Amino acid sequence: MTTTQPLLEVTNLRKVFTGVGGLLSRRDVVAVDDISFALQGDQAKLITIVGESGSGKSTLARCILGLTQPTSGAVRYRGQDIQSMSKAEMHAYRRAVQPVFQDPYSTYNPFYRIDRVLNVLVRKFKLAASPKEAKAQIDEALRVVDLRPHDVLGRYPHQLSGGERQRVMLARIYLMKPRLIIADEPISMIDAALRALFLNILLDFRDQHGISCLFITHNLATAYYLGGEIMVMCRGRAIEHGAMDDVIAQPAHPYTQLLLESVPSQDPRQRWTEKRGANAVEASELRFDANACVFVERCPRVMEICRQQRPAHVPVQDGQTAACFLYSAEVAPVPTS
Amino acid sequence: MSTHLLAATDVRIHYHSTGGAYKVVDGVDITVNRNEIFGLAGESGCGKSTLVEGIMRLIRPPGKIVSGHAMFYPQQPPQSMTLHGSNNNGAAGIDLFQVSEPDLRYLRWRYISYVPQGSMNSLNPVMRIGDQMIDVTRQHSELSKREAYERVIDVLRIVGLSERVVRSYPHELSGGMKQRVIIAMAVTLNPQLIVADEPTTALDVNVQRAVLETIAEIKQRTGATIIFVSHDMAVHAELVDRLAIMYAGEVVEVGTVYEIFETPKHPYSQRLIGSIPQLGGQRTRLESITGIAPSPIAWPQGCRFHPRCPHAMDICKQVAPPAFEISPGHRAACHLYSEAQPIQLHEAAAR
Repeated sequence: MTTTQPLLEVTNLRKVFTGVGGLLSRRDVVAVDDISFALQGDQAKLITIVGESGSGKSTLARCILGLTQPTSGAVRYRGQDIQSMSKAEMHAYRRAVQPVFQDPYSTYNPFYRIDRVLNVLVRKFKLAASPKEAKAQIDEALRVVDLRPHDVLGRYPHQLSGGERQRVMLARIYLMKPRLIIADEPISMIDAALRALFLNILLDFRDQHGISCLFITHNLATAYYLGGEIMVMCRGRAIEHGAMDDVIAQPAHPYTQLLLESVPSQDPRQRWTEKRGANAVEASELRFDANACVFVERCPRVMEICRQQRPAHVPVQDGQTAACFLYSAEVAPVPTS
Repeated sequence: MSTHLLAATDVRIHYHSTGGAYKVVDGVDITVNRNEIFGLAGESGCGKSTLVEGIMRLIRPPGKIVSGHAMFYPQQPPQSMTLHGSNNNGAAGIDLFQVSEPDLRYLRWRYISYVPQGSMNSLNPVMRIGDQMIDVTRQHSELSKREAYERVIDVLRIVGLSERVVRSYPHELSGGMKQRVIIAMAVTLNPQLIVADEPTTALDVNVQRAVLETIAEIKQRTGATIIFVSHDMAVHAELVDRLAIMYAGEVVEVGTVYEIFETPKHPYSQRLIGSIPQLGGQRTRLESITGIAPSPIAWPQGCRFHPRCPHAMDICKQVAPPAFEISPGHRAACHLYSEAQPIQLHEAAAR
């Protein structure tokens, strides 16, 4: 019966932080501005949200996890608004939707050994019938994330490296067998060699254990590796959405194009040939106007309408949409003279 | 043949604790040529930042430079200083590990400048950018206030910032602009060597691109040599001329950026490059380096990478591999290449 219902549905989500800044420069910050998307529940999926710092992607994650109350809009899990969940339903939601945060150190209590994180979980959610079974489950979970149980059990969080701590978080998730992982920049603090391992574990979770993932990153190469769907955010708005391969191969929104051009090529023979120089865009420098496109100031193809109206999402090609007037039927782009 | 500007040999930097010595940098040799961008890569804890701190003589107790030389061969060395040895072109040099504190102070900023990790957050929040830059410039030179001001405007232009920035306070600038101010500061006195430690980390891609372009521009316009430290291999591919890969306190491979990316020899370098996701094209499952990173208090016996190496042989567990020359200038410290000629770096460079 749930096959037609999305696993997770975010509709018109908005989060405004009011009165940010000093006494004299008080202003409202729109961190998440009318975001909608759905994650279908028929099979495990990956959706990646890409955006620069200040684009609102972490606030979006916190709203989905129920850690931040949205100003308006709704987050629905299997059709039910998480704001209207009962205590028991919320408990179930917290079990089914698991977070992985950026800093793997701050999520641990430094006074307890690593074992406790896993033991408490097994006890609290009654995952095992006996202590022996619990031990077996924990060992299995650690092996899944490529850790040897005797290497980590009995140690304190500070004795593990960032990559190891982050993998213990994944072992914890494996024990829970959730439906969905919300991963907010989980690999920005771990080394390159272990990033690959972490990403591979997420792919295995999806393919072998049916666990979906909402992955948040600023790293486009990482996003591409995971595949699935991509949503690009800029100053709180989703400006492009589509299948990963389509968006990376043919980015539609000028902001997405600019982002892609700035990713280092990873091939010393294909370095950037032209200089971007002072035109480099920092998302946080863009002025915010509710009734205009967020990218007007820096867009190379800006038109008059971009300053007067906020562009709606329009289809670009199969399943790919962009919030840009260039693709809008009514507003034919004016040829540049 | 390119002229050496810096030749560090057998550098060992240890941190002493009650539990023993943490051998964070343990026998490193690097040679940096004039007017090149030399990259230092490796995972966190491999010793790359400690190595450059050592070269800058900024190690504080309990850390100690236990051995080694850091020969610096500038053009027109300060006349008052004692010179030791000479480089491959016969130029006399200064051993940065031996010069006195006052001499060191004379060298800093004028000859060598340093951009430490996260330094963009160390700008004085209650002082205008221009005043801070003029301050540093005058501390390390005899320029008048007027001359210093003109110099500051010049370098701000080189890094692509407008003159307006001199009157701004740090909080009015974005992260990328602050990082460019720091880089501008480092070049005000036209140093021959600039050491930049992770200058693009924590910046967004668009801004990262601007900073990388700035660094390339500085090399071109000022003729400076740059040592560029980063854990991000993609950034090295975009910027550097030659590259050293560090693992467990040692340099495991060094070569041109093409040699390292196209024909990496050391299994660690191969894995490091194999683990970078590519943007676009065919997706292949990324390799990862399994196992646990070793601790500087007890490096593994023999080759330090052998517990994680897919090609480990018996000899690797017992004998630490010397650097083998694969082709001129391309070296890898791995027993797989033992038929190549081992090089006695320490003797060659200490001459």
